[in-house]
Amino acid sequence: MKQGFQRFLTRVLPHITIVLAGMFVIFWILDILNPTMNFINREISNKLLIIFCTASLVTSIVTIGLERKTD
Amino acid sequence: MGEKNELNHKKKRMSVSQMIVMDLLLLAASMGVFMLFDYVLPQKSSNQGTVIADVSDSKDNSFTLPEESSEETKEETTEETTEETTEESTRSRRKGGDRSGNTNTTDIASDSTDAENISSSQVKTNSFETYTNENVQLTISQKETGSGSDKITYYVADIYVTNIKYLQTAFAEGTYGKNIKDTVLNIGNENNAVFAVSGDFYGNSEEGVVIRNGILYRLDINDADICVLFTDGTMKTYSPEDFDGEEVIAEGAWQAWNFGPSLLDGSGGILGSFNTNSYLNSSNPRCAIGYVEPGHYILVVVDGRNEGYSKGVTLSELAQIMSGEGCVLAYNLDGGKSAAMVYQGEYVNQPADGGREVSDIILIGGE
Repeated sequence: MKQGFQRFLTRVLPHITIVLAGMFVIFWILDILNPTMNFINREISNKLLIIFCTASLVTSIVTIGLERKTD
Repeated sequence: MGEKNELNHKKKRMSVSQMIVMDLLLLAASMGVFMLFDYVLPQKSSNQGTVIADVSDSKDNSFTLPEESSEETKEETTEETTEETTEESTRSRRKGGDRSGNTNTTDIASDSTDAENISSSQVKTNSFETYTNENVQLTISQKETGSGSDKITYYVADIYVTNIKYLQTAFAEGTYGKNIKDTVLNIGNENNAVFAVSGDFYGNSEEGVVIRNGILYRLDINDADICVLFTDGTMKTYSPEDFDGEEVIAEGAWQAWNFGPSLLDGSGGILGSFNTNSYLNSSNPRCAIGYVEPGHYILVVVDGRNEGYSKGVTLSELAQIMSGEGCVLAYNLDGGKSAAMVYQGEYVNQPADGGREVSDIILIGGE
């Protein structure tokens, strides 16, 4: 169980972060092309942003932890 | 043994290129799911609205129809020069602080050169359709100005109603909600419309004011101007900062649209700046509603993105058209591929790229 969670943190979460980052880059480009689409300010985008921030935060903490462990 | 495990472990790992491909596929799938839920799947709302104005029992004719169409409009082909409006007003607008609305608007100065292009060129009236019953008088004209790649073709519906209840709106599938869409033609047919134009595409946004046929569905203010048609036949446009929902309801709001911007200053003068963004300000197909006096309205659809037929207009040019049609107030509705005008079950204009499905229309019903 613990190993599965660790695997999720180290292997899956970084990909979730990458995918969400990619989605927000696309939203940003689309909003520049047509501001009335307003992808970034949508309610669903705000929820995705919270997930993105959490994923980024956890990924960063795990990466720093692993780095310190190997040192 | 340990080395073997390590080798197996390494074999299981994807190469970097495989990982990049996998992430890109995941990204594409995630965007697909997002678009599906946000733009495609209809989301019917449980919001049935609140009746704030009821004119259905009103039998008295508040306004009178003009006795006869003028000889000028009966001519098959006429040429006229739109009166140049010298009075230009400027408007300073206080933006809504840190609030980020759903239209990302800013003040964009109106372009007097654009407006002059319309006012100085000859406007040719090619054809017309008329519809009259005891409560409605409707005249549709096709007008052209410019030539070659600068040619602009637009359609003007001059509408008189005896009571505001004859100027109606309708939702796609008769339902308020998100992503519930249909063509202007189909929505019009479902509502027995003699005449219809595209509305403000309220379903494309989660915010904004939506009042239709005296029913309040939504009263969230975003960054866009608001246009309100009252039961007494008057029309007003508001900046988001000046809009007071309770006051508007108390005054008897019959319809409210939230797209914009407002184009004229209340006396027919073109506003000095428009509350919009640069994307919306460019040359595009357009749809606009104009107010002349209680009971007398102008609906205009400008075709665009079709070189040699019609290039579309900027907001300044649209403002000049509306001013030239005699409007004192005018308001831009959803344009682009949405801009469509339907009369007697047929498209009057040529919607850009075949048009698109919209969430609402403005209509004149049959007898």
